[in-house]
Amino acid sequence: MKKTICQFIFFSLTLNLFCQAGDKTIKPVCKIHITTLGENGLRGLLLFTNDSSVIVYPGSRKQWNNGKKFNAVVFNSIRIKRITIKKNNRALKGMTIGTAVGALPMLAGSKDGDKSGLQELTQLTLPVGGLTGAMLGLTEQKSFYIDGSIILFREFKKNIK
Amino acid sequence: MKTIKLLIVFLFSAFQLVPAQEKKTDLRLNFLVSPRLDHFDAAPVSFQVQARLMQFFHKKKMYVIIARSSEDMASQIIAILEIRKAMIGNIWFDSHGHFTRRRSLFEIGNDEFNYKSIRDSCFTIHLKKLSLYCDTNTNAGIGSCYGGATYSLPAVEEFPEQRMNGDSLMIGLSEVLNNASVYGSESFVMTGPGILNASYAFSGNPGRKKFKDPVYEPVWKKLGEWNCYSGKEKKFTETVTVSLNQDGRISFKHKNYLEFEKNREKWVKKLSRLKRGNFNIATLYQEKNGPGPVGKSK
Repeated sequence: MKKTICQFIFFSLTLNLFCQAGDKTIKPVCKIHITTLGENGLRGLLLFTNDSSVIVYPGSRKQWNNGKKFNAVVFNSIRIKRITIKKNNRALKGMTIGTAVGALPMLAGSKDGDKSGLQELTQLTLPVGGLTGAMLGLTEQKSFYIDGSIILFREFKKNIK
Repeated sequence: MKTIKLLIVFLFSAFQLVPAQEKKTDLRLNFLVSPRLDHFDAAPVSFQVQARLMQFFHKKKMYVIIARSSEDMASQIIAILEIRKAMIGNIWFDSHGHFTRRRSLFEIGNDEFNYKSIRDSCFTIHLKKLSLYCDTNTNAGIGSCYGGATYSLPAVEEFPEQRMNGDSLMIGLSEVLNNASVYGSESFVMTGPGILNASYAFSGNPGRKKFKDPVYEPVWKKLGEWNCYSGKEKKFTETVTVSLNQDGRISFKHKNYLEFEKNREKWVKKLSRLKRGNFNIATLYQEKNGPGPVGKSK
């Protein structure tokens, strides 16, 4: 009996915690630009996707961070022509990859005996690689053509995951 | 003795029942009303700087009122008018127009006046206090974009076609201000340099990409056009481009902004280049979930 009561209390407590966490952990997946079939543009933050629709926060990331409350917009796939997404922290990721590529001459030099020439080269390639990576990351965006089709929308949904 | 007492009481009560009437004086002052904001906004700041500069040269005629609300504005204006024993000659409400709210409006600090709230006697209680100092010779200018717009905005996605009702706003404001003449713009109102120089500084168009969308087509078509509602004649009259004189008087230009060939060429070019997708319809959804037409805007 004691065991059952303990189990009941444990489950009820954890269930409650999950509910609270669930409310707090809604985070925007990425920036989204929806082009409707009427060629109108909606820019916002993608919250999540259903089987046939996207749920968007109609504000900027700054407004989200400031706690500005807007009701989420539900956009059905039959109204969508094209979706363009920009993922989070892409500049940082790009910079990391670029810096890693820029550091390759140094790694190559560590195997050889003479390092002086390669070290000078690395001083140049490291910042250039980082900057190029950051620039490429900033401009990186993925576009999905939906044209009101549920099948194409499911393809997009797979890519989001 | 009893009769005399009764007569005194009757005269006293009759005196009490006399309605408040407008104060008749010859002196007329001009007021420029601008909002006091918590955050930096270039448009009102530009207006306030230029107005303050001109006030320096026209201290006896023009006053710049920077207010947080209509109550604040009314108390400031009434204090000046009582000291100077004057009436309002011209009053200009500098404000932003909010296209995404899909209605004509102007704001005094945090208070939004539109076709519905201008009819709400509780909401206009402070603005109404100015009616004692206004008459048919008073001119009031709505200095917000689309403040006197009479067209209907086209339907966008799930938002139906909607009339701006700027004419209703102008009639309402005229009634609140004791049948004053009210001026409102159909299109954009700019705040470039020289707005108090009787120039075309109020005319023109903003350069931002979001305005170059077919959603704004009715606004572009009416560029530089102003409406006037005469409270005396109770009718709308056509006016050409409105401007402000150095002492804050509302004046008119003889030529419309688009009658100049250079402006017309630019306008035709821009009108033909409107492209769908430049305007972010998310802003419409933001306002949809915000406060309704009646009440405070913030």
